[in-house]
Amino acid sequence: MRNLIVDKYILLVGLLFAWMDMSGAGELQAFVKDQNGKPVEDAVVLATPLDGSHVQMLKQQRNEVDQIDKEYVPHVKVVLVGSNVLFPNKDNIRHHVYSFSPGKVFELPLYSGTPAAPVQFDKAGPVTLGCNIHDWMLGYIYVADTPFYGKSAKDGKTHIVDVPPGDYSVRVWHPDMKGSEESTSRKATVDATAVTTMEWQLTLKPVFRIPRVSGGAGSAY
Amino acid sequence: MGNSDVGVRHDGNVNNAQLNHDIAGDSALLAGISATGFFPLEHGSSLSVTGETRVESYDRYTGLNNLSLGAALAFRKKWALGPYAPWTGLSLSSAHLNYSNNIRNGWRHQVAIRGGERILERWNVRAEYLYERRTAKTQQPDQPGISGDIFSYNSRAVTLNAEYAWDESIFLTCGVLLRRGGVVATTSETANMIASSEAIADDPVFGEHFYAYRMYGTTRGLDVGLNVAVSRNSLLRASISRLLTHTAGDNDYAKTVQTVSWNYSY
Repeated sequence: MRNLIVDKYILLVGLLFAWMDMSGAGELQAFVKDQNGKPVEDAVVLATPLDGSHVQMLKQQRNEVDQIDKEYVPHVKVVLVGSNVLFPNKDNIRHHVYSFSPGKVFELPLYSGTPAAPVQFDKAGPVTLGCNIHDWMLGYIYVADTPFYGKSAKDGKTHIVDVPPGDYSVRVWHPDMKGSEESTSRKATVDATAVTTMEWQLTLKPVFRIPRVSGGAGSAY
Repeated sequence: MGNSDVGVRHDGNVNNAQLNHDIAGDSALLAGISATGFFPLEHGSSLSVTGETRVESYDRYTGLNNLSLGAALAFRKKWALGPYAPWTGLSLSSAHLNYSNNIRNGWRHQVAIRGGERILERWNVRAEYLYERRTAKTQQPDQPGISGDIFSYNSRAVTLNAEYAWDESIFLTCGVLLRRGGVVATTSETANMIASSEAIADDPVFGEHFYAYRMYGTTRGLDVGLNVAVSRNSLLRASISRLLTHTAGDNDYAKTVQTVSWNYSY
């Protein structure tokens, strides 16, 4: 009982310090659109402190990329470097998850349910996911080297909150973008008293996804 | 896993006739529904079992209306990991065909060997060898010494298909066909047809004085299609095929077939 009370005090003190630390934090708002001015969904916006501070906030996290109705959900998942990711299969058919990406080459041969061991992503950058049974299944994991990141919603907007004031290099990545994410890098100053807004216009490549259905009547001779 | 499709097909020479005054074109409403049990196996292989029923309902020649019930067993192997890996497959299928005009009733058995590969981001190619055996009830011989077993024959066909992704949802297809084996042409009686036929019988579907002739023929075909993925699970397809058949005795015929169909999988 005494230990429980001590734990509660430790938690309260921790929360107080965390609040004090964040009370001076700023917010970064980003809007990503394509070459036609349309909002871009699933764009990853990353802010890296130029002075190298706050990187100590990096820590391993446990994340999931589901397989639902023979699709990866979410289509784009952002995790921190060193994170463990589970790939639960919520379909009633087995999947065979794999990646050829230089950031993480791995394979989860045919399985149902949730594999016992998660996959650790320890190298920053994008990782493309496929399924060897269902060729149309395509998903992405972006492994972030900064804790200040966001992913754009359907309206192309993302909000990165609790960003300590300072100078940042901010860049954008999207699975269909032309060019490198480094070419999108810009310097931004985050202020504790105002929201920093940024906007990107990406040129997206056409996407050729493998169709789920095929058909057509046969010929009569 | 289920699949259903509905469509319309116009065949400009539904009776495979050579002479202009014999050629009959007709349109048919098509519908099909199938259920597939799909079983992924180790090392990139899979097995599927499908049960299917199809109906065809013709506008003018209602004797061609038919219902088929069939089943198929297919094995497929991918030879590497990923969407660009080459694959091969073998399938066995059988269907019972039930026509309004019951001389056509019978079984269709098929064995197919397939292979394919997505060679580039936009290009997908496929080849198939198909052996088909049709069996039907033997009819009363119409000509002395010539079989009445019209709708029983074998054939072999090779098809090569290519698919090009125009954009995210539009796919253009092109295929060529070479087929050798039995064909059935229904025309008015000619001496040349009789001389080169392997079987002859009355065919009341196309009217009086029309006879069905079974001959050995070679068909060359070209098919182009436009596939539009209208949603994640459905596909709209329009295609046109041109088929030229050369038969024994030079009873050659040509036809153009246009099909529009909508396919939905779930």
